[in-house]
Amino acid sequence: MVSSAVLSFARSERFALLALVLAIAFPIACGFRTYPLFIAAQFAVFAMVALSLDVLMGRSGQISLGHAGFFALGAYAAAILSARFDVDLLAGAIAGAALAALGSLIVGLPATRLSGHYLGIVTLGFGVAVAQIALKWTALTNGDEGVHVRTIHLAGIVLSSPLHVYAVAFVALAAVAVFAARLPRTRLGRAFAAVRDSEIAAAAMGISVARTKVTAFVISAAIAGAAGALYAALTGFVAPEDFGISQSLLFFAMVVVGGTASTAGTLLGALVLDAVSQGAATVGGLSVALIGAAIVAVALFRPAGLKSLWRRGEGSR
Amino acid sequence: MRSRSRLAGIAAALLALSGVAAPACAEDAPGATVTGDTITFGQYADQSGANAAIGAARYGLDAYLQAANAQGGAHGKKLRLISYDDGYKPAQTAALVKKLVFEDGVFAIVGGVGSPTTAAVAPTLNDLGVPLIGMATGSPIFYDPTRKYVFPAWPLYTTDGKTMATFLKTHFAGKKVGIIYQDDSFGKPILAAVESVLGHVEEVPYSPGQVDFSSAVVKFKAAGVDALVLATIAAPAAQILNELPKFNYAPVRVLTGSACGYTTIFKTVPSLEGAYCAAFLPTPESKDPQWTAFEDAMARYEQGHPAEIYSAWGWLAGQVAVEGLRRIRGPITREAFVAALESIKSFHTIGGDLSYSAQSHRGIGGQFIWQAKNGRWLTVPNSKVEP
Repeated sequence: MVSSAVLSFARSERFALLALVLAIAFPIACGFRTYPLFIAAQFAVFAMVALSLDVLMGRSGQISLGHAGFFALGAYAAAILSARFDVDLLAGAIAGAALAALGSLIVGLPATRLSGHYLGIVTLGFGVAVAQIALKWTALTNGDEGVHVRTIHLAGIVLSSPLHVYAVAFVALAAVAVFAARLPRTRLGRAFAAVRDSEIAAAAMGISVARTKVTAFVISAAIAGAAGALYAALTGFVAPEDFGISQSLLFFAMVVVGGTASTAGTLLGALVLDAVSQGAATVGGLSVALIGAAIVAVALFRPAGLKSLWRRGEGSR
Repeated sequence: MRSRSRLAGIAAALLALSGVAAPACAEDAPGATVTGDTITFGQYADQSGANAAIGAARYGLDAYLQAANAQGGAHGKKLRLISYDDGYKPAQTAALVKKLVFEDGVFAIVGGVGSPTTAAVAPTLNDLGVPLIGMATGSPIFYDPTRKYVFPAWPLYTTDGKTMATFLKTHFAGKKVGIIYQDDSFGKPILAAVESVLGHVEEVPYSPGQVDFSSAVVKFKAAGVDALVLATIAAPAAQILNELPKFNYAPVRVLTGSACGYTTIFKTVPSLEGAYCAAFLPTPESKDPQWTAFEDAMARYEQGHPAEIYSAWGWLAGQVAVEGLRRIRGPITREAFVAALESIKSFHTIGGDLSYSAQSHRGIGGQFIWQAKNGRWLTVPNSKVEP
């Protein structure tokens, strides 16, 4: 048992190191070209959201079908602050995370009484509502014409190059990945697991089930909000069409395909689906079909997700 | 602790790398001068998302370029199109336009489809000095202020609204008018233009993606609306028009051009007879030489894709881009291309006469009215309205 845990840790250490070495090698390998750096940074941002969703789904046993809503709150907060007040990216990310965390209370508080399909519907409604508010509140969001972010700066440095944003995105992803990987070994992570496995047993152990569930929502939303701020900096433009149901379902699929409660699995799921999505964009309609096929294939042949490739004997959770 | 410090070190290395390498890799848009024997255009169009039908603009643009190649191309160079599916998602448009500009090295972006998608890329392309030509949108945000590298071709959406309202004022004076409009940068300018001509009208907004319009129809009927303006795209228009007979309600119906297909709408809306449409393209029945050339090229180069209104949008964009290219004297550069486009005056296109200048990139001006008769659109005489 102990040796298995050590082996698992060593593997995760090696995985993290390999991932970071690849992150450094990639810009050199691609010759610092704009498009590959942009796509890689976009993957980093989407992977952050997928990891945030896994904190909620995999670690605390709740569901969100509207995570693009939290992502949107962060993106809009950072974009509007940057466009109107020339606010720094870090401050924008903090504001985005705070706004998303605040928004999560709208969903998190009902979550103390809801679970499963009912919670799924509430989160789905939240995601749709945020996109609609972004569309209709034109005085703030500029409606479907979107918000442009012309100049992005961080700690006094203007992020004028795709490599800048790439570096910031991967450092942020690394931080979130380390947090997600270490979470299960913390007191909070154990409380999440206890609530996930049995709310009655968790309550009997003195864990506040309601507070734990809301905390999971707040943490998950804050990470997604910060990722949204990075997304605004990366694309330089935010519009409601980018935060619809399909985006929420893409994040959901990344976690399911990768395997819940697994940092490496979720990262791999994000990588696979983002690569499929980008690679197939040159052929009309193929992207959606391939993502659907990937989900069906995983459900049929790897119901525990891609993590089961290296974690044998995993259940479906 | 060991892993934490190691990760922090690598993170610092990544940031340091970006600081050192960034000045050397802030890329300019390649392909500012054409040197080879091919001129490549790029396009973004929805082929899979909510507006996949209008992505057919791709086939019309490709048909025009192939037809131009059959006549020798431009300056002896072949014309080529790279078109990507953006799913009508602005962020995906931004990503794919980066691919077109920096990876594929296109000379210009031509015939891109959609307002929010174009909004995502127009400022960036203008900053990069990459021309954006003939996009399928009439949103006022692309016309004012005039951007050096952005060349819209469509009439403004406000012209669309003004044409419908003027027609109603002239031919149906005294009728109570209502409008259902898409609550975004497509529908709102049409609403504003309609009300600028007719004053306040009964109005109902709807959200993109909405599928049930029965309550709107009930509201218009209850309010005694005699003439209904549909500032919608094709699918909502069909849904609304099919709702009307269910409520035994038969107002005068006037559609925006974006809602009117040449053939599909007659199949999806059995009760279309007598409805009107604001248009800037010729009808298939017109025997207009512009239409005939388009129809012939679609049949020759794009088999399986009909000569529809959406593919005609792409054809129009191709006409503008190729005319600009052919007017270049000397080296084919983006700067020369922009100057050549700005020299275009009263150029006959499938959408009417088009003019540009250094001060104004307004493109096509006027619109007119079609009427559905016996399963086809016919142009209503003397219905043209200038902006």
